[in-house]
Amino acid sequence: MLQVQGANGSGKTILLRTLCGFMMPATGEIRWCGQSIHELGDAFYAEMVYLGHLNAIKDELNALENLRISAGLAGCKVDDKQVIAALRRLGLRGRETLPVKVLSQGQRRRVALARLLLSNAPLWILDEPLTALDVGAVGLMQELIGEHLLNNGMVIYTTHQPLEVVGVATRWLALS
Amino acid sequence: MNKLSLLGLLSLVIRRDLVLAMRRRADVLTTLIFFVIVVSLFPLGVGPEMDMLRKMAPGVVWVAALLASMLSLGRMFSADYLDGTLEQMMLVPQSLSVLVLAKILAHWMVSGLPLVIMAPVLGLQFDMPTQALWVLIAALLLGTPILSMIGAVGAALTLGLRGGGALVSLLVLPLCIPVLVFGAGRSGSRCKWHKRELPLIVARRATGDGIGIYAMGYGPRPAYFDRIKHIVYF
Amino acid sequence: MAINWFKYSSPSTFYGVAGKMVPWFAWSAAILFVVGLYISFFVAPTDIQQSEAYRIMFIHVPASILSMFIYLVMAGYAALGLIFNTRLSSMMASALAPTGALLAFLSLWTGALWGKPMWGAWWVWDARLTSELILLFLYLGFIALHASIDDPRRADRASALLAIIGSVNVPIIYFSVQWWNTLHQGASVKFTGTSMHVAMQQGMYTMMLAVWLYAIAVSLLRVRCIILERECKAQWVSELTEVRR
Repeated sequence: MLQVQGANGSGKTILLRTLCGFMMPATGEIRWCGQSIHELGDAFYAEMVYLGHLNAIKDELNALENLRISAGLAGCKVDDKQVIAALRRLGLRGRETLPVKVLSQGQRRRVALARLLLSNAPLWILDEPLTALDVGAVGLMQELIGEHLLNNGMVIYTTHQPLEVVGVATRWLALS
Repeated sequence: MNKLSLLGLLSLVIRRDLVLAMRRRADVLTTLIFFVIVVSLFPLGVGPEMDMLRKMAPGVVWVAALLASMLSLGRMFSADYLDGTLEQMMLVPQSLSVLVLAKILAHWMVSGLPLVIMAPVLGLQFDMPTQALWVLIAALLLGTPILSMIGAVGAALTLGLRGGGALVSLLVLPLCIPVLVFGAGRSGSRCKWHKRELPLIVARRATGDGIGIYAMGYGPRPAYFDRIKHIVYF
Repeated sequence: MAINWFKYSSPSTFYGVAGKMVPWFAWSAAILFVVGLYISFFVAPTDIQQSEAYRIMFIHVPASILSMFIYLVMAGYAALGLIFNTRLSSMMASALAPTGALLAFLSLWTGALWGKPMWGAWWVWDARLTSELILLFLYLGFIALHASIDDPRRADRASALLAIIGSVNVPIIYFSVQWWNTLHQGASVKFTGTSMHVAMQQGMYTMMLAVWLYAIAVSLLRVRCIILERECKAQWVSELTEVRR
C-alpha cells in the first residue's frame, strides 16, 4: 500500500496517470513485474484498475448497467448477482436500477468504487478515492483496501485524509 | 484471465452507445431536423424552377448530409471524454482500434443512417425520378460511413479544444471532398453507375477506413491521453 | 567522416547553425529574384498567343509547385517528429506551414490574375485550381489546429497526424476533382509548356530556385523564433547575447 501525499499542484495525479501509461515519462520508464508497461501493453492493463477524479459513469444509465458495461470492457465476466452484491456492499441497496443522474455525488462515487469489487486485478490505482464520501463510506473503503491487501493486492492512492488499515504498514511518498 | 473477444467488445460498445442514444433522442433528432431544414432552404434560395431543382437535388442532399454529419461529430467522443469513460476505455486490455471502430459504427447508426432513410423523402421534394432516388440511397449508404470515419479523426484531434466545433469542420470538410465528388456525381443527371466507378468508390472506402482506423488506433493513445490530461488539470 | 546528425537535431545546436545559414539563403534568394525577374521581364520574348500576360507564369508556376512540395516536406517533418519524438522536426513542420500557405495563396491569386485575360474569368472550376484551393484549406487547418492547442507537444502530435492524413489524401483529392471536372465540363485548361523558349525556361528555373531559397530562409528564421519561444526557460537561451541584451 503506497500513499502519495503532497500539496495541491505537486503532481500527485500526474504521477498516477503516468503510472497508468496515459503519459510518457520524460526520462526513465515504468515497469510492471520487471517489464516496461509500454511493452507489456494489454497484459499490464489486464492487471490494473484505475479510478480517476472522474467517475466514468453515464448519467443516463442506471448503476447496474454502468457496472455491467465497465466490467465488460475490463474483460471481467460478471453476472447481475455479483453486480448487485457489490452495490449492496457499498450501501446502494434499492438504488441499483435508478438512473445515475438522480443519485448524489457521494452515491455516484460509490458506484464508481463498486468497480473495484468486480475486478480481479491485483493493482489498484486510486486518485482521491475518498472525494465526496461520508464517514461510513471512508470506513468501508479502509475495509475494502484491507481485504484487497490480504489477497496479495497492491494499492497506490492519493488522498488528503490519511487512511489507516489495520495491520498493514503504509508506505508514504511525499511530493513537493 | 478471461478476455472479451474482439467481436464481443465491438457489440458491447455499440450496444452501449445505442442505448445511450435512445435515452437522449433529442440529440439524434436535432441532426435529422437540421438536415431536412438545410435541404428545404435551397429551393427558397435559388427559386422554384423544377428543372433546375431536379438537376441540383443530389448535390444539395449530399452537401446537407455532409453539414449534418459535421454537426453530430462533436458528440462522438466528447461525452465520454468529459465524464472519464474515455480514459477508462484507454485502459481496456484490448485492441483500441476495435473500440474506436465500434464507436464509429455506433455513431454512424445514430447519425448517418437516419440521414440515408430521410434522403429519398427529400429527393421527392425535388422531384427526383425513382431510379435516381435509388442511386442516391446507395451512394449515401456507401458514403456516410466514410464521413463518420474521416470525421472521427477530426473529432479525436479537436477533443476538448476551444471552438472545437468550427475547427473540426475546417479540418474534416476538405478531406471529405472525394466522398462528395463521388457520391453526388453518382446520383447526378446520368442516374446510373459507371463500370469504373464502383471499384474507385470501394478503393476510396478502403483507404479512408484504413487511414481512419490506423490513425485512431495508434495516434490517439498518446494524443488522447494528453488531451484528457488537458481538461483534468487546466 | 561520419557526421553526427543527432547533434544537429538538438534545438540549441540548430539554433546557432540556422542563424549562420539564414543570411546565405536570404542573399542568394534575393540575388536570384533580381536575376530571375530581369530575365522574365526583359529577356524572355513576348508569347505569340498570350502576349505579355503570360509573364505572370514566372511567379505563378514556382509558387504552385513549391506550395505542393512544401506540404510534403512539412508532412515528412511532422511524421519524423511523431515517430522519433524529435522536437526539432515538429518545430520545422510548424515553421513551414505559413510559408506553404502563403505560396498556395499566391499561386491562387496570380492564377486568377492570369486567368482573367486568358480565359475571361477570374476563377474556373478546374481540377488544378480546385486542388490548390483545397491545399490552402489543408494548410489553414494545420495552422488552426496547432494554434488552438496550448501544450506545444500535444499540438505537434495532433497536427502531425493531420498533416499525414492530409498528405495521403492530397492525391486522392486531386484525382477525384480531376475526374469530377472531366465528367462535368471537360478539360478547359491545357498548360502549354510544349516548346518553351530557352529564355522562358531560364527565367522559370531561376525564379523557382529563388522561391525555393526564400522558403528555406524564411522557414529557418521562423524556426529560430519557435525555438526561442519554446525553450525560453532553458539555460542556453538565457546565455545568448541577443537575449541578454
